[in-house]
Amino acid sequence: MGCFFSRRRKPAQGGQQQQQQAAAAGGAGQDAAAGEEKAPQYSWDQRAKIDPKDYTFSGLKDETVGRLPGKVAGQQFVIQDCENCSIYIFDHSATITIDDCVNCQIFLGPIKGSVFFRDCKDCKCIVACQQFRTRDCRKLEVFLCCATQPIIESSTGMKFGCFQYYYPELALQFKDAGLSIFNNTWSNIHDFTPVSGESNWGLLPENAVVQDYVPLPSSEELKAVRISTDATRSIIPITRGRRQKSSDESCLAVFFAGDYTTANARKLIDEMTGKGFQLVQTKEVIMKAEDAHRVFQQCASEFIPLLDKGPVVALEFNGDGAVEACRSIINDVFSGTKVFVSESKASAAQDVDNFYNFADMQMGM
Amino acid sequence: HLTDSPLQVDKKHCLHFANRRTKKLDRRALWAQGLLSILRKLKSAPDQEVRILLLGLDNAGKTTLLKQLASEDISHITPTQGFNIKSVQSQGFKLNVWDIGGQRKIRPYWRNYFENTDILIYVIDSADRKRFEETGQELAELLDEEKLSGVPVLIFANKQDLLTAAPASEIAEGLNLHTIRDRVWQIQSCSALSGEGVQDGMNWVCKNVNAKKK
Repeated sequence: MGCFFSRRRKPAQGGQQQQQQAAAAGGAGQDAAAGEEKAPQYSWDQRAKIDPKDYTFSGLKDETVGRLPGKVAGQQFVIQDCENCSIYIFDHSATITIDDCVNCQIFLGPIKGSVFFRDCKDCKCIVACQQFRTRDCRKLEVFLCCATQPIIESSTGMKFGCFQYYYPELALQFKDAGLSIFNNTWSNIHDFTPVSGESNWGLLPENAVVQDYVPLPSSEELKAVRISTDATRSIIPITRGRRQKSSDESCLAVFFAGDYTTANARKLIDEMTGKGFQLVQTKEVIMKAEDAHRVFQQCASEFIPLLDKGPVVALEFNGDGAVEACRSIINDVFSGTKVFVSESKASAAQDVDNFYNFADMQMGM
Repeated sequence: HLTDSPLQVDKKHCLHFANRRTKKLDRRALWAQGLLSILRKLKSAPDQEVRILLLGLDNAGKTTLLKQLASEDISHITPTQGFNIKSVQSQGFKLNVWDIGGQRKIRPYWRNYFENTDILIYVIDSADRKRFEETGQELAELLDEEKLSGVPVLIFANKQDLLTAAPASEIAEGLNLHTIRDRVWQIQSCSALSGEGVQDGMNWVCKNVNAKKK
């Protein structure tokens, strides 16, 4: 503890009767931690001077604006007071606030932290983030990829669908933002201000066409981004989430960490959806031995050695005959890979429950 | 003169901390605290428990801060719907930290957690300039609360890693912190995400654990 031995310590800033230093004492909120040396240097004291105006869209009307890949590079972005605008952030960012915007179409690339819409109305958005928050908003329609449970407050007429977008740089931007493409809880919204007798939010129609909501950018500069809104090309696998299930047969498939995990998972998804089965939910999460016992039961010993290589990727499918179809595909396509698949329709329901019970606790706070 | 009841000894030290603020005594007090902690362990007596209340607007970074204090993974945090609580060992204390959700709708519930608070930590998103007035208002109301009377307050000017973050000095001025007279207070800039500045703030907390003004 440095404090013990310092001989001359600057008095703590604040509430001390004897020192009458202005509270605005030097820049970075000094604390009496460092002893007689100069005030502690924090990394933000020394960062390169960037102009916040380059990371702000403010007071725009009837415009199409955006940022190309590489132009935000993980910085904070601010959007405010825009009307009838089309706004495209084709890069990853730290956090974004959207205030007082009306009738805008907005694409927001992967956000490492939170996205927060306040006092917005009639906006259509495509957003990927760790946290999704709204307050005092009306009629927002959002194609969402969110790593945690989205929340709304004092908002109404909110509609949600699954993130659906592709451009070549997007996959890496998700990595840069620390977001897994397999962790998307877009369909279960927590409302802090529910109203009895009605709901402030709902789901977008499953056949909603993304470009009807957020069109492709019309400006020359932004047209350079090679976008596809095709469901089969989406960087985020389209999941049904809480949408009503069509069948009572589920199937759980779990891939283990390795160089081809993502590619394998996507391949299985393509094969299953190609055969008409539905992808309900995906999850990428670290599993421990205890979890393996609970989820894999008798097969646990086979998979436990694979757990410490990294997180597993779990896929939940739905449809009559899903288990048989899944096992057959895995046999044909993934014969060399260690994969867990549900044994039967009967056990599948239990597999799915067991998996989510542990995964939800793991990712809880 | 150590008794089996650590509480009695603490009351003595309480008076010391509250009344005398010279540098020498601060240092001596810390030394005594450390010694006390060692002696407690020798006697198998528990560390002093400190009740810390973590408040601030929604999205301020309270839960990230809590996870950071507990040295846990901070890459996957959900907006807090109720509250989170963690116990953290630090500098001879057992800090019981209560992180309460900050949405406007649920701020009325904050008062359910006021009682017996030793330290208030108030977290501000330094980069959310649109809500400076709102957070200033909430802080002012907290400092007016009877049940939080005299409780030392640490204000974390969080998210200093972000582009539009206002420096702690600017926040202190905007919040008129210099007008606080009824308790000890401190403002500390930090990034809960990276951890920078957090320990500095917690050092102040540990120093002022018994500084509640009656």
